[in-house]
Amino acid sequence: MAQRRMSIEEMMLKYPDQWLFITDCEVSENTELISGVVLVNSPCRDEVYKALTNHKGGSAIRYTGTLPEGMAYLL
Amino acid sequence: MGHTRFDGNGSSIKLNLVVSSIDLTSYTNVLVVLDTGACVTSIPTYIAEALGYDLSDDCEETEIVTGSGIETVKVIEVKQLTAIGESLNDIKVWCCDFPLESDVIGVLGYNFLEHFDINISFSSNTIDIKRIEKKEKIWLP
Repeated sequence: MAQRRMSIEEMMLKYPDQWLFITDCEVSENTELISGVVLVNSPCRDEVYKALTNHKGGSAIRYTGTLPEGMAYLL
Repeated sequence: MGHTRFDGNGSSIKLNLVVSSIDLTSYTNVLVVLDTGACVTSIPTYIAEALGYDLSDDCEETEIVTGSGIETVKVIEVKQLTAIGESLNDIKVWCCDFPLESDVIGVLGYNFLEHFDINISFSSNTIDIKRIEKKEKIWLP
């Protein structure tokens, strides 16, 4: 069955706290990801990284969760 | 000219970064943090390898100072990086792997940002960038 194109907002709702490998990306002229087709979804980041290895063309990688409570960035 | 919006409810500015493969036939769009304090833009090692960049023993390395110590990272030259609607070719990138808990996987650093005049508006949650044609170098002690 062909996967359905979804907006990034729909992906966030359908796949909470998941890493996504997205193809057929629609991107704005300012590089913002608008929509695409989720090819791989997994709680494991490495699964999504692996999907990129054999893919040709455009893709995107996104995590639909947030930093755990009480955690912040210092870069 | 590039323009983008960022999440005003967040505690950092997260941006889309498009990284090209070494042969320019593929690209992937990842989420990174805007970090003017980072000397160089960074992406994960696995993504660099998947896009065809050579991270073997012959690859250049450098030591970087982080908040938790000194780390050694691989240095590659990415064929094309695009963010906020603007692209740069043949730009240096560090290969660093963020912890699994992180929802972003890299940083957009100084070596990308320095090519643009940048206006970050925290009142409208927008960023506007304009490519610099001629750069004046001023030294401050």
